Amino acid sequence: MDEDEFDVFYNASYRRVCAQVYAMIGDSDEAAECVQEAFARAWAHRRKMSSVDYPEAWVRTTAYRLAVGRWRRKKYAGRATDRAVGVRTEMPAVDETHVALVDALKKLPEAQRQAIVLHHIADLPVHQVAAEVGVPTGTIKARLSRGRTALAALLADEAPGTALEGGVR
Amino acid sequence: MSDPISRLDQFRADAPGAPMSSAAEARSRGDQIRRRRRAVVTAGVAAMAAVVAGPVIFLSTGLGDTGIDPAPATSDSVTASGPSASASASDLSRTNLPTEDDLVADDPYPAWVQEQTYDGDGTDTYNDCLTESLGDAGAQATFRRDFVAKPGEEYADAAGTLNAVVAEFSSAEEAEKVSVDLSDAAISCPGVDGAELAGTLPVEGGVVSSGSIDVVTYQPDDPEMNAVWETATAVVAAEDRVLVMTRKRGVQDYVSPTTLQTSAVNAAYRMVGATPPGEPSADPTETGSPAADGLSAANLIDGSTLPPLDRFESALGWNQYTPTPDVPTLACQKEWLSSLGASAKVASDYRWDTDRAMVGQVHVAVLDFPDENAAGAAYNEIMEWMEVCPANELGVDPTVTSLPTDVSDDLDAGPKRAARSQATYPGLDGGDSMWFETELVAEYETRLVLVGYAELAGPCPPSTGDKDDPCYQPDQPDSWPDRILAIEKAAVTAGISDLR
Repeated sequence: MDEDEFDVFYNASYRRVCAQVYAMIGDSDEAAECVQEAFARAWAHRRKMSSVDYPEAWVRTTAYRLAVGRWRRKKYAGRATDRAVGVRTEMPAVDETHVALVDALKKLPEAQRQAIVLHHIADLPVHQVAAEVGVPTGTIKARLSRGRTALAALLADEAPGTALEGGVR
Repeated sequence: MSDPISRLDQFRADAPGAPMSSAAEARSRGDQIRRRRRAVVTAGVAAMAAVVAGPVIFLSTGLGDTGIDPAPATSDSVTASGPSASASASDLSRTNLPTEDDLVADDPYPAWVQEQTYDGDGTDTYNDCLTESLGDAGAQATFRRDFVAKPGEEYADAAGTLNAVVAEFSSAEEAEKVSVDLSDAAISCPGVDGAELAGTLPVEGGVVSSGSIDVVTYQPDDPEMNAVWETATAVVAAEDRVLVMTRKRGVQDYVSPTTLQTSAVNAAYRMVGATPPGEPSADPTETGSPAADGLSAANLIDGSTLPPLDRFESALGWNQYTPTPDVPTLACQKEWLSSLGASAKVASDYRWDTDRAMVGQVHVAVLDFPDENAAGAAYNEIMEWMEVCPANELGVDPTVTSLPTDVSDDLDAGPKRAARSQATYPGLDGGDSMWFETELVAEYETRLVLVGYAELAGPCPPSTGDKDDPCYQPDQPDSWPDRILAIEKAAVTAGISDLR
């Protein structure tokens, strides 16, 4: 992967992966930092990346792992962000309907949330979600089913008027 | 009810939450990572050259034995083989490295024996995942010890390697910060292309201020190798020091490094000059817990008295075993029991196997607390686990099918409080099989007894004999409810036998 290829890859994927990781972890600042770091590692491993089937999946997985590592150390959240690219950036305000959705996602068990984000937001088919998570497809189907039911209930509990009307996928 | 799918679709379309930053910045950072990796490799080569030259110099001054001996007895001979060369202000020495007695070998591998000890980080990379040496991270002094499985013993060749590096920093805060960074690196494993995170375990208790074990697996360079490499990295901070313990081996499936957990705690004590807590234990859930003073095997259920799981034929009946990887006593457990702050703990595990699969599990833990208030607080915590079922240690998502109910009157031993709940979670076959688990917590004075009892069935639960139940199975024995109660009664009676 040369510079031009990397830049095309980055520009095409960055926002999308950020949104996916944001949906998984519920913190847009943290998501952006972890995705930036994951892209940096992708460039550091660019020779390897050339043979990776799904570079975007590699970046998403790396970013998610970084985020999980940081989660586990929440008590050290005040530490410097020296490992991320550049300085911490102020994020723009996020649409309140999306905030409500992410809040609801955060209340789901981690495995269900991950399955829902990968299938419905990253738009991966079930078998690819199963491959990325490393569990059988039946397990993913079960997590999706339970997760959607729980998510519907959580969204129904939110204040009237915040729901966004839309068609069924 | 709000439609979650349309909301998720809209979220995907909007891709909210991240302003664009430049690809050039990411490349610049990536180049920085590559430079750092190269620097570590170069430092390793330079250190190797120094060691090769070392014996010649020592021999010419008549100190050949000292020069050749890889592990002189004291730390006074700090040499230029690493950052410890500038360690004049440090009290750290080789005596702060773990010894063979501190390490637990996992079955069936032989005991670890010391191979070599270094002043500094050593002459080669001690951990495939970490791209930065402890010296680069600001350590004032470092020492390293390598271990191998006892040569000549059965399975020694398959045991892999283990090493420990201890480092001292300018302050406890600095040590903790470095340990966090090292754990991050162990999880993401920038030193190896394509490394996959396989699992994590906490390291806690005693002198440990923070710690974790992170396990990654990756493909070997040798295409003939029928296994993957597994590197388990324990990073533990205690006082102003950091321990990095690394176990590397070839495995065909993920293996929980629970023995490393115990070894890491023992090594943490040694690192700060304290005596490790008792003999090494093969029970990972005892990690960080004090010794089982006041409790004994008499507080545990006698396996021979467990009622048979009569739905399945088993050659062995209830068979005591050590779960590997470790399993929580209760499926819904949020954390390992060591988090509850008990002053003592004993535990045992039994399984019922057919000739094809495990179909029954009994997990019992007895915890003793410093006082009744502490026991009561732990009881409430466990009740919350049973209600909410975070199941952080199980690896799958159980569904609570019955919230905790008071069953203290059902138990002959007369506990102060007792509650039972039920949960289900998927079996391993990916089909309809489910584990139907009954969870019990009982409190008596300073003591808690926990029982997790699971039977495999599905999609219907084991028969209860209720003919109005659509799941009623006339060809099945109706012994499930009685079996649950018998196991719980026996466990609670034994668990508090010395208090009554």
